[in-house]
Amino acid sequence: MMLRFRDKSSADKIINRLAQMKLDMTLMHVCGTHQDTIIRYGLDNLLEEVGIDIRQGPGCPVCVTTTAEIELARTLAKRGKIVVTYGDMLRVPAASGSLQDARSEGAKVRIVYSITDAVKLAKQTEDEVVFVAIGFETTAPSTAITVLSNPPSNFSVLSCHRYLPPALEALLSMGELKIQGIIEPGHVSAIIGTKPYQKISEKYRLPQVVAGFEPLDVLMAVYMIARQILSSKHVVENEYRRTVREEGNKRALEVLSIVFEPKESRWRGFPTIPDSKMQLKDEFDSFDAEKKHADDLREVSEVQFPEPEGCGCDRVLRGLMDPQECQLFGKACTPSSPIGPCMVSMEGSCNIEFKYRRTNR
Amino acid sequence: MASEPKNRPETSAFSEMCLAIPGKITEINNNLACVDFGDGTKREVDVSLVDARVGQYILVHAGFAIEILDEDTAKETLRLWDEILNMR
Repeated sequence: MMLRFRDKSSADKIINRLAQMKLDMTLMHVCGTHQDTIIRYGLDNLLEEVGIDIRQGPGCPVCVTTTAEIELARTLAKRGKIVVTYGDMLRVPAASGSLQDARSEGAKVRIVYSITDAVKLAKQTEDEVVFVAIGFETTAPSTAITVLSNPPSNFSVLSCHRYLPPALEALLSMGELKIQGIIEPGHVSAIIGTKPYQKISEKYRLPQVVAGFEPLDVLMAVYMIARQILSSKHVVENEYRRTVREEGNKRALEVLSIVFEPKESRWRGFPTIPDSKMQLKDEFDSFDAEKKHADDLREVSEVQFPEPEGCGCDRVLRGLMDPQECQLFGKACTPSSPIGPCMVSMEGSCNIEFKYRRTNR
Repeated sequence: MASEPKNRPETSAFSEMCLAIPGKITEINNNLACVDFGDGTKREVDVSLVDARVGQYILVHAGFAIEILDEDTAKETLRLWDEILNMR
């Protein structure tokens, strides 16, 4: 059945419809997996031919993680903690190198697929284990439920988890980019549901459609936005009903609200965004790596680290620049020697662009 | 010629951050399910965030089921699309 979500003749029909609508519009999406679908199937080219520009915003958790956060993780690694994280984080360059560099200098840095592997590791050692927790609402419930399930006392979490909707608000309030609609990420929405997007549609009069990750899901979402524009509507619609419920995943939302509270935070490419980071609540201090290991982090916790010179990730993350417009793309910056996180992460626009179209246009 | 990036065995489809992969539950013990991803890959998945039963498809992200896939709704979506796309 899933193959039908890739059906070529349906895709052609949607493109024909969009051509007849003659809309000149710019849309944003905020998910690396959407970007992968769009570039892998060449949907951006098909849409461009019918006047629709589609670009990725700040939807890559590794990419929006700041240099300062990576420096915290590196510092903990260099101070003898076992630092554990997801694979995409390993090679992101920070001010003094990546976590991988720290590892090659002898620090203990481990990659896991799931936080449960980090807990298993903590049970097998006397050493302190710090899990660098990256991700939006899709990933954060697994961290929350782990914290609630009595992990060993040598385990702690460096929370880099973020709430996605505040970033959408921040981006729109900056007003740099004129967009006519947003395609919302299906797997964040599986957790948060469709309601958190409603005030954005009302305030900015923007159509939004929650979409799945097959090519037809994305094209259908574009078509649904186009239909809204033609009928002067601006509401939140759900294309991905086979997974996303209006109210989201209640149990996941509940564990998030028990464990985390919102805190203002910087995002790469953005100024401070209010209520955008998930901070462990006070009662979980003993699992909060920033508090537990405050002495180790004192020297780096307040430092403002410069972003890599010439790196366009900040503008790419705000949807203002295409990867190939960056002066470093494919020359100084490649997946094997990345300068910015967008070239490292499999959800980064630059990495995806390089993977499917590595030559300069 | 520029050298290819080295294979990174630590990263695979399973480490993509926001990607969730559908799989079918073949067994559940407490909060742990055995999930078949259809290509010969079977993995242990924590199902404590969902009310899942054996035989259901779940979306798996970073070792946790984040939602149950509704097959009936998927079929309904496809039917609705056919209707919309064949309208004149």
